Amino acid sequence: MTTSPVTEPSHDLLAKVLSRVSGTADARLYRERWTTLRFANTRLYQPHWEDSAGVSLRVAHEGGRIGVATTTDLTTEGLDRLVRQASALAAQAPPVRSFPGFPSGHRGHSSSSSATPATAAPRLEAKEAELERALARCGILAEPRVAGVYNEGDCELAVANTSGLSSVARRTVAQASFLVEDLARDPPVSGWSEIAHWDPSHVNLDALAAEALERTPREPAHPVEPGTYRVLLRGPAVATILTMLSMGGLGAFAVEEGWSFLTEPKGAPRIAESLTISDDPSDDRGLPSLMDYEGTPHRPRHVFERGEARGPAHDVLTAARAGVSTTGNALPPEAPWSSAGPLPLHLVVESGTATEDEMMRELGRGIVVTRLHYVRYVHRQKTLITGMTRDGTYWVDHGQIQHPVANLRVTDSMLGLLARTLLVGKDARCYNEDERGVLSPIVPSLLVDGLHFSSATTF
Amino acid sequence: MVEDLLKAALDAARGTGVRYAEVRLYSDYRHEYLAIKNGQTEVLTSRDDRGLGVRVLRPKGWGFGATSVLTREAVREAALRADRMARSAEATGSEIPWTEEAHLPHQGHYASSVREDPFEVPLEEKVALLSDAVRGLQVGPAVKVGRAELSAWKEEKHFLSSEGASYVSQITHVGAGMVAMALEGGEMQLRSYPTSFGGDFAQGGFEHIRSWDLPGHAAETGHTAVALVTAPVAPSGVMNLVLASDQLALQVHESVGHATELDRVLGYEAGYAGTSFVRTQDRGSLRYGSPRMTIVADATVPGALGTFGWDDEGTPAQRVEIVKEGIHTGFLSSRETAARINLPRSGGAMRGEGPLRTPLIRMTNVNLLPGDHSPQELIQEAKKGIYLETNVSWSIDDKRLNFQFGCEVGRVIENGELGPLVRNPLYSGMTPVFWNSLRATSNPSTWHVWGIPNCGKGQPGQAMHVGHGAPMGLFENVRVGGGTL
Repeated sequence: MTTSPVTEPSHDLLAKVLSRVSGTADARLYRERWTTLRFANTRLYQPHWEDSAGVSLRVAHEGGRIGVATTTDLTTEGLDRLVRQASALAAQAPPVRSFPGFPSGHRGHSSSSSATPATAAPRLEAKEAELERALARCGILAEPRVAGVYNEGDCELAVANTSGLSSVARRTVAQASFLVEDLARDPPVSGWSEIAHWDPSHVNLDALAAEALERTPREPAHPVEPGTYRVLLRGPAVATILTMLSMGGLGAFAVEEGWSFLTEPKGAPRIAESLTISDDPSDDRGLPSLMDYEGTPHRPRHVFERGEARGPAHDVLTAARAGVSTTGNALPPEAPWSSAGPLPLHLVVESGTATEDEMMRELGRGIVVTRLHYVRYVHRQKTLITGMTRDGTYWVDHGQIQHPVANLRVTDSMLGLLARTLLVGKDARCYNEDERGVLSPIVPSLLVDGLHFSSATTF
Repeated sequence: MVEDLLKAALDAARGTGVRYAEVRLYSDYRHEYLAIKNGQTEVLTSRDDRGLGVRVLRPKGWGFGATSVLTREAVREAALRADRMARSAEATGSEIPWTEEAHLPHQGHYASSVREDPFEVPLEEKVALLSDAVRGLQVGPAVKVGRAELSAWKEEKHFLSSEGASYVSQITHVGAGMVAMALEGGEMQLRSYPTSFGGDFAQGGFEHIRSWDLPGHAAETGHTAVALVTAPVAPSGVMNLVLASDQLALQVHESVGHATELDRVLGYEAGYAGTSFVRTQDRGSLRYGSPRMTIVADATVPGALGTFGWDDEGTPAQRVEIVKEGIHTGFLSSRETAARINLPRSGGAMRGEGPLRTPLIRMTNVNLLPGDHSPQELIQEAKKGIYLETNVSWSIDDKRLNFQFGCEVGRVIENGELGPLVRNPLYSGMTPVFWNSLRATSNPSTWHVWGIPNCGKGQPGQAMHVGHGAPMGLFENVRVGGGTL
């Protein structure tokens, strides 16, 4: 076992892999270095450093017989084994209907503009100092308990295929979340803040702490009866809903299989006209990603335009079957979750004009929801989800926060609540749902005229 | 070579002032995943990884470093980074307690009992098995998707700690399942076998996959999916509820397993996974459930997904009582968390997903022990209510109290007998109220250890393989709904 450090250029390494393949293939090289400052119980706890590199190879035999293998053993023997594995799988694979082959493209490197030399190097000391200030800031509470995480990764994805495509994208991913609890209240109260950005200097732990602290109530939560209330959904809650939506009917597989809302006989349901939602991996307010896992350059496209649904996300295969062009939404073929088919991973809600104060005034009487927890599909076809509120749920009357409310269970249709959206916030932010830069919606707050809470708690 | 790298990493990690260090080297970390959908390849993939993870404990802080590159330079850097992280953690921390366990260190070898190595079974045979199953699922035009999948994992892990613990673990896991998706008149329904989300999973070889006999159950699975499309919506109201073993296993997972992880209880997972309604002072006094509820975390169950030789702190696998006859009696714990509540020893629940993730407290096999009823007796005792099988939706709050689950299949219970099929059934409740409503469980012949290969936790995220033994269970006066609640 003699794994060598990964020092050779991505293009050369992938060329070496592809040269060993008999037939057509594409290959991906991942190189990632992550630093995670995880904090819990108001201390830095289980911080993490990780350096990894791996190659995935997808071999296509005649008739669309496809096999995929992946390895982190980048020695000559390891790469030989990789090719044997992928080829063996392809030899036995039932054909994939209408596989069009791999996309052609230019040779040579292209580089993402999202990573710069200034941001590529982890800035551990600066972030540690920020964290210390942030933890100290929370000392004003009677019994603070602070938790959260700061992740910073320097990531490279290179894709090449036997049709001549060869691309490299480098990027920096920075993401953080901050939870402040005051255990002196009974039940305890909490506040939450989070952000993701390609530039680590935009992810300021002390600023996040200040925001979470400001949102931490100074009195215990009051229970509220289940029912339907007008709500202001803050960014983290909207991001979770959009992430669920991206997996629930916006991909080509859902359309092919006939269960997507895009295929409803009467036409796809409309959402509020005030909502335009795009899939825009190039938006530099978040975590730009310049190509998908087949090497197709990303290009922004509308998913909903002024409330009207557009087509699903495609990769090369599903686009060929639908007779359209790929939208650049291929997932990593080696990942089990790629069985979901192409998905939009960078949903962006076009900002409105409403400030938070204006949205609160328009809310009048209702509930502010900051964050949702453990959201799952109840019925994917109906876009019906359920999940709990968490860390910052408040009762509002006369446009003013009155008191925190005990957590509630949301059970509602995502398309329904988006259809009932009255106002779209002015300020948008990127949230990274997976903490590794993959699912990264950019969203503002939404004012929704009616969200169904199916049950309540006393905490 | 393995020994050299382990020693190089441990030597580098064991700098001045380091209290404890451990190294895990994965010389073989394989996963094969095959899925056939509607006769076509959906995913045929094989993963073949290597790597090493190092964890360092300084008096006031932990640090973790990992690399996929197995050279002396790379593993040494990972170890130094782990120590750097531990030093960083010390700046904000206080003394970390740690059980000094007289029975440690251990040296040894653990290997799964495998009759038929899943990686030696010809690919052609595996593809044929899945293709047969998919064909069998397609019982009519309403079945729009027939999908079957199988997985196999094999890992060889080498462990070395600064206390002298040293072991090699060779574990093989397999899993398989299938699902039919029927769609007609705008209504979509799913039916899975042997259970949902990839099927059932076990420790051992391909013999498990053969024993589930996917092709032999395909037609019935497809027909049930079709029948569900036109079945009435499940009734709503408060009623008696009988849960099948697979759904009760998930109920145990979400409302007992996670709730009794001691890191959650102590607030160390508050930012992401959450905390728990269970408090450390509840041990020995909290009435978690009815006297019919006894739950153990047992890492020694043969053939189960959460079984191993030693955990990732070198603690031997063990059986820990969590709830005895309804009273909360124990936690899933580590050496640090056990020491924090003055337990003499760890419960041996620390595991990391592969080399690149730090060990965390994870469920082993958290099992609800069986009772004495036959399935028929449970239904008879329920008299009127609903029987639910196979999870399709699950959600619970961050303290593990308020839950809502949806199932693929419901059957109305009338006059102590199973009645017609109903669709979109849901039930909800609050954990201790629900478990205190447990009136009876079925006997050992109906008890099965279900494997779950994707229990999520941690930052960065990890997916762990865990097991849950469960019988059928009868619960009284539970809130049930059809489609929504």
